[in-house]
Amino acid sequence: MEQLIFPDAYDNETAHSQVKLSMRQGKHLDVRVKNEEVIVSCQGMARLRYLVNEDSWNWILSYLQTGDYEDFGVFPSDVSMLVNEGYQENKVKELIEQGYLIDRIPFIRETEAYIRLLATFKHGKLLFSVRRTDDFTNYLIDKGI
Amino acid sequence: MITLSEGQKLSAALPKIPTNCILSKRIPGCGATTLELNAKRNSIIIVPNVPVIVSKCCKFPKLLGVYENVTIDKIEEYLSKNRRYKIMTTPESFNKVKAACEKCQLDMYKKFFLLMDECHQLIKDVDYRIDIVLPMDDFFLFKRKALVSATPLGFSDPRFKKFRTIEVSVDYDYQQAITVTRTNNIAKAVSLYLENHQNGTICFFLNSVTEIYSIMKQFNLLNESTVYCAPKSRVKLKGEYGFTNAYHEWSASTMKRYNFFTGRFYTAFDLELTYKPDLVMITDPQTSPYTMLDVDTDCIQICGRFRYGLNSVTHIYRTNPQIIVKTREQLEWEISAHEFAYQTIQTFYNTADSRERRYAFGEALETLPFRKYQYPNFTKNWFAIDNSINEELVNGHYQSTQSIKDWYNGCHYFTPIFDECKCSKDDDKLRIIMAARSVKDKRRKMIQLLSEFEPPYSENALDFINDIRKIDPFIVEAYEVLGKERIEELEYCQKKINEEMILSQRKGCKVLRLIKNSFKLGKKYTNDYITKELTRIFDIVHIHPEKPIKGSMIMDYFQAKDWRSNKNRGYRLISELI
Repeated sequence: MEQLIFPDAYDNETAHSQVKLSMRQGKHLDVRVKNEEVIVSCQGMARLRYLVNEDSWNWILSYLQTGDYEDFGVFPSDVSMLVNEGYQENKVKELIEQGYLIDRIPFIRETEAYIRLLATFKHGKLLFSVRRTDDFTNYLIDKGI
Repeated sequence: MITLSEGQKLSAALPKIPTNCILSKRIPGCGATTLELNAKRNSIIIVPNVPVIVSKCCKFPKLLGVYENVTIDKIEEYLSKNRRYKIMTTPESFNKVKAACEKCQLDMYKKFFLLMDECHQLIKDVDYRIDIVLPMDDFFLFKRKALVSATPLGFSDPRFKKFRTIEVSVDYDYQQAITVTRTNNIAKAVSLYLENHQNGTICFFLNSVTEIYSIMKQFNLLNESTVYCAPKSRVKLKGEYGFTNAYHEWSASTMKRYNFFTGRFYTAFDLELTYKPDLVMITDPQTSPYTMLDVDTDCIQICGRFRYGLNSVTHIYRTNPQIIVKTREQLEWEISAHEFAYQTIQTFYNTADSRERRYAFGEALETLPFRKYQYPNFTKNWFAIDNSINEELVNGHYQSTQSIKDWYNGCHYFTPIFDECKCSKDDDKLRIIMAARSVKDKRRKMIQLLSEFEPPYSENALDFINDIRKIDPFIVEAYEVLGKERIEELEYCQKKINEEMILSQRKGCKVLRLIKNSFKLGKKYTNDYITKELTRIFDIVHIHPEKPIKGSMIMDYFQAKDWRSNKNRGYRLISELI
């Protein structure tokens, strides 16, 4: 019988420690948001993949705004392995509803498949690349973005 | 032990520098760097300062010098065009070499021999150049590596235990005669020196551009002087004093009758002249602690710059009886006690079972003295520990004349003659000329710039603010926390601004931070002042202290010594306890 070989689970604990270390060093984080994960870059660290849950998302957001790196109550291993296609869109909408300033990178031609958005904070940036749909585009227009 | 005869270079005794060794040259200029540059292998040589790179690149056309403004692309181009690689780099630029090797798919750790030249600088400079130890983690990954110094200091990093020390000595008389002049008035001593040396070229080594300018101005030497210093000091001399004859690279063509050198020029580069100048080293611990010279390293290295010899060597110094002298054992014990305290609090932090406790222990960790002995990634920085110990030991020597005499008598390199320059009350003291623009003026300008931006900040605005933050993080944080109006109300007074920030931020233990803001190490405070200040601090944070507040309470926070002056009694603060 053929043996099933499962790929190693991603070591999110180490990724979390590395992100926290960068926060403790006061680094400016560039956080590219994907589906249920973020790619974190800063000076001295390029493209660290970090799987997020609700608590760790709030932790990153708190750091970007205030510089507070304390992660009590965040469990990096407690992440969902299901892919949520609408994750980025939901997060963008959440940030807009909460009043954060989101900028949209304008199109030169209307043929782009993805809408790129940027939220800047005191301690870093959030970058989104959301698949363009009529609903989402209309939503952004309604919100003046 | 390798022994060299007069005129012999290291290449006569060694075909190449062995690996995993610390080469203790004993005297500068015996050709260790040249030996490696001529060795038939790929080499990366890390040197602490740019002048030596510039000097060696002139002599070795196939050598690539890497320092500020040299790009990774240029290094890549060098690696692709050559077969034998000789690269000389500063520690801060080492990462560019690493990145270029990665791009060219070269296994740097196997392909190159790594030589850390003037390795004593790793310890001497790490307190203000934290990046000087950046390459050290990579250093131990190299298969073939070595360290070189004419004046090596002991490393406490356990990774060096596997290294053997190879000593190089000479069989001729290399000792340098030196006149060691003690004075209580630097201006008087310099004045007498200039009177006795009316002819010839004089090279002054003094690690303070403020004092250098003050000497030039007081003795009317401005038109006959050249200053060799770091680029930032050059900007300061030009912008704030209007002195333009300053260079960050040495060249014989720029030398004048009087030449002043700062710490950047103490080591590693060759001052090649066709004549023998007079050398004067000046140490003034009362005006600037940065001028204190280590006889066992700095003074030997300075003399070693002059490849063709010196006409005379003089060290003019003042003592400071207020300096507290500690032994190596005392210093090591203190640091290990700090480390133990840090680890204990770290354990409490790791096992905290509530957010509040986590915050409390986390904040305690940030204020503990052992933090300054850690790298940015919170691992132990052995070089910072060695630096702290070495600095305290060097400072301790300048407490008394006898200590300096013993030091010189114990140094293998010098044959000292001790002299004294006494002054009377009528003699002029050195008039220190402060920079035209004070720190307050510069901060006023920064606040003005910051207030031009209105929130919400654009990305460009945030980038600009972060650039200002790199220059003066204190004033940017003050602006963000207190605002422009409040900073102006506090008249840009650093102590008052700091106090307001401590009270408004939820960061760290407020009482400890306020106490460290009010009381500075090395200073004396009367019992009266201590009592009033501590009472004020406890009142501000509404804390009822466990015991009555009196002067001795300062010893809960600092290691302090009793101090008396006429009718006053108090304490002199030596080091932090918490």
